[in-house]
Amino acid sequence: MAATLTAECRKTLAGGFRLDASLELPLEESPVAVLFGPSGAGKTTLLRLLTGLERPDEGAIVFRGRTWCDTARGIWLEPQQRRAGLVFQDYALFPHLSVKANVGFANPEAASRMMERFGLAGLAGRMPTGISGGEQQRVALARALAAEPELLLLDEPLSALDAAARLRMRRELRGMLAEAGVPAVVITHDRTEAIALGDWMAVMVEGRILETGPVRDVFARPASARVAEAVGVENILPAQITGRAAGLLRLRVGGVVIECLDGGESGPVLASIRAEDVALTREPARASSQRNRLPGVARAIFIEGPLARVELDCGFPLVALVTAQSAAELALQPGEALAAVIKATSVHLIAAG
Amino acid sequence: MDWQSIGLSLRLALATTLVLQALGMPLAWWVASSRFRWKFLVEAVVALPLVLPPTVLGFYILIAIGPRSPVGALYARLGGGQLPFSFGGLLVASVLYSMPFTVQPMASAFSAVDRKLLEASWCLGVSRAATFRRVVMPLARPGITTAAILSFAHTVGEFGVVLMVGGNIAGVTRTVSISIYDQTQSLDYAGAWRTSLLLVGFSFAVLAATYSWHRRASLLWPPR
Repeated sequence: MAATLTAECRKTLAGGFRLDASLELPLEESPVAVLFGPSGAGKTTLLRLLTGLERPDEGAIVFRGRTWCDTARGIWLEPQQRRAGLVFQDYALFPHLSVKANVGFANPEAASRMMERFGLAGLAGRMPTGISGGEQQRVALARALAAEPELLLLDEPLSALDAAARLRMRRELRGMLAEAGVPAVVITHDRTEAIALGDWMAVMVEGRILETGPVRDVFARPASARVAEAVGVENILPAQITGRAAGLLRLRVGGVVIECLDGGESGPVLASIRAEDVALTREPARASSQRNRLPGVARAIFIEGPLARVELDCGFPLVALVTAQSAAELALQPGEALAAVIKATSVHLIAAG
Repeated sequence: MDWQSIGLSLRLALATTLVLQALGMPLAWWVASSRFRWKFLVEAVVALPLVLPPTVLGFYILIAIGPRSPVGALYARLGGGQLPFSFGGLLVASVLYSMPFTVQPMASAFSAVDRKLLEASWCLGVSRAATFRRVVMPLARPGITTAAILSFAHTVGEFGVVLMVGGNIAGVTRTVSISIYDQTQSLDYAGAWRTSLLLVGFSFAVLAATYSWHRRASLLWPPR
């Protein structure tokens, strides 16, 4: 039976939040699915519904053809019967048990093997409070996998780590999940994590699943403005198609014309441009591979760690994300004239309305 | 020194503590984990012995376990004889009287156990009962120990309830506190002095040992 997970869940929480999620994940071909969305979107609640820690008001959950829950037919499997391993956001290691006892909690025979596999053998006798965050995460993962789950659920697995450990674990976690050979659903609100970890992705906003698909497709071509906003596309601009030629579309955005690839769109559209895909230059126009070179004025510059976020006025507001180093080399100052450069392939159209 | 009554008090306290550990633990777990709307009523009933005069409590228990009550009649039919003025009756009274001293420390220790740890255990396929034994009980151990010590010490020191329910029968219901009362009534001040001093020393030692054992565990009414 293909490892497909389908969930149709409706639940109203005590605070009035309504979750109405319809999810289908093909975990056979795409073994790691990311449940992506801003905080407060209901991702953790959906995960708890999948594990059986919460009951839906109505709905059904089916995994590998086995019904875990179906309110209409009165079917309910307890968490113990679902074999869905859960890795909590803060790992929830048993504080009174050693690393080895934690890993072997469900299955003592598997403890040594799992600790070997996750590089924890040297920590067997240590207590969970005395090891680093990255080690705690490996213990949590090893503990879940020792129980031989059919599905692994991870709630923001990297958020409890400091920045350095997060970068390292992001790389390692992908490898560990692949090696585990267990389909996994990972919650995250971080785009980089989603791209680094996931094959498949479901975007959740305000209790609803808005779009599912391969991670890169969803990021590159969000199907709606709300998804584009949720996946962090900074520039979503109302545009009108004014002409098409040689596979390119001409768009009027504000008072300016830009070009993008012709995907057969018509009518009013939204042009979505990721801030990373906007380059800045002071050089006068000359031939280059970039189709769109828009003169404008820098309105504001914010340094965010290694990146600089530059807000421009090019006849319409445009946000560019460049490295802080580039910003320094260009000596960017608010009020100065410069040009934004956008490849035609970086402009994606979303049907408006 | 009235060793007979001291021995009786120790036996009664031990039996009460054992019964309360068995009865109080599920009740405390229910209090700590239930979301039942009327739970506060149960909590109030459990805490009643803290505020009621022991004579009032003793009076009602006496009526409730008397031969004409359903409980007393059932007990007699099962071959237990009469509950009032017997060790069995004292045990029933002591269990009710010391109930809050078991349930409250246990319940606050149970509710301090992070619920996520239980959920983690369930998701690992471990049953609810095994999760209670392997996660909740070890983490709540200071509270469970405190409950046992307080119930024991409180039972050793009880007076009014015992007098109401058990009377004053040497070797059967005359506990150490009643013995002190007797000694004082019969102007045996020297005897009362010795027994009282023993009780003060005992109680102080028990509490000092408990507090030093787990300094951080607040004993009686920790904030919820």
